[in-house]
Amino acid sequence: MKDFLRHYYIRYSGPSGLTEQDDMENWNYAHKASRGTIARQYPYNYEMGLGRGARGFEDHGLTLPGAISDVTQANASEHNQRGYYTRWRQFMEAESWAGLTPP
Amino acid sequence: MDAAALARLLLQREVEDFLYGEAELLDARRFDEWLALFTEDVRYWMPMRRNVPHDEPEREFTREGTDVNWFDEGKDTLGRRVAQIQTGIHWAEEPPSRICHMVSNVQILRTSANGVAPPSEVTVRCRFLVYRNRVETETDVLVGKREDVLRRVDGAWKIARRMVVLDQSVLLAKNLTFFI
Repeated sequence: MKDFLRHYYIRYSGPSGLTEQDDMENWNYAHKASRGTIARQYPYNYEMGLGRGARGFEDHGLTLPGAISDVTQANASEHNQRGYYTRWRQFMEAESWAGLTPP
Repeated sequence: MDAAALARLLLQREVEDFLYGEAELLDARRFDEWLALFTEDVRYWMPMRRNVPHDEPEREFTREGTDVNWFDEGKDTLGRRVAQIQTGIHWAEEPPSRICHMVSNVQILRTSANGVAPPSEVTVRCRFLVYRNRVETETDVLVGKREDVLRRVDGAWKIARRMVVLDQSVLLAKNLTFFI
């Protein structure tokens, strides 16, 4: 099983992975474009797939906690990005570390 | 010059010609012909390298068949990489990169030679310098060593095993969509 996953990740992810090889250029360019005068004036829109998150999602008898994006229903979603910035905001607004992580 | 010395010289030249020819196929983007240079049971391995204290060299390289490596695969996956480049929608290579493979310091380390017959297998080490430029300013220079096992199949050399040792720890290129 571990060897299967090892081969899977080498083949799929990272600089030598068949699927993610174009990401570094794309994301670098996206960041660079974000520094522009116009890009800085407007908030980004992260509404894709908004309101289509599923709770209590079950797969093969396993119930996943929290809200997830059911990619079998919606083709694409910015659920991840919303989750990322929601968490970022929690950190930025926190008065102390207490409560930021589960006890 | 005695016959054995002459045979060594001819073999050296033959191996160099093969390696330069391979580089030419890659730079000319003749990937199908390049893929045909590999045996069906080829192992193509490129370890990652860690920064380790000088007295722990055994920890420097990730291990073949055990750890996550840059490449650790056979002909099937190599073929898929070639096919992906040829789809025209592989956005890390569309438009294609401009690539130049420089091969030097060719040293034959071992041969299977037994008596006067030419060897059917040689282990050869070389240095490589791969220059790559794409779109506007994307430029990579990869330098390192390669150790290949070449096997004579039906009168022609094929690559039966390749180890690529890159002289970088963190990969400074944005991807490895090209072959070394």
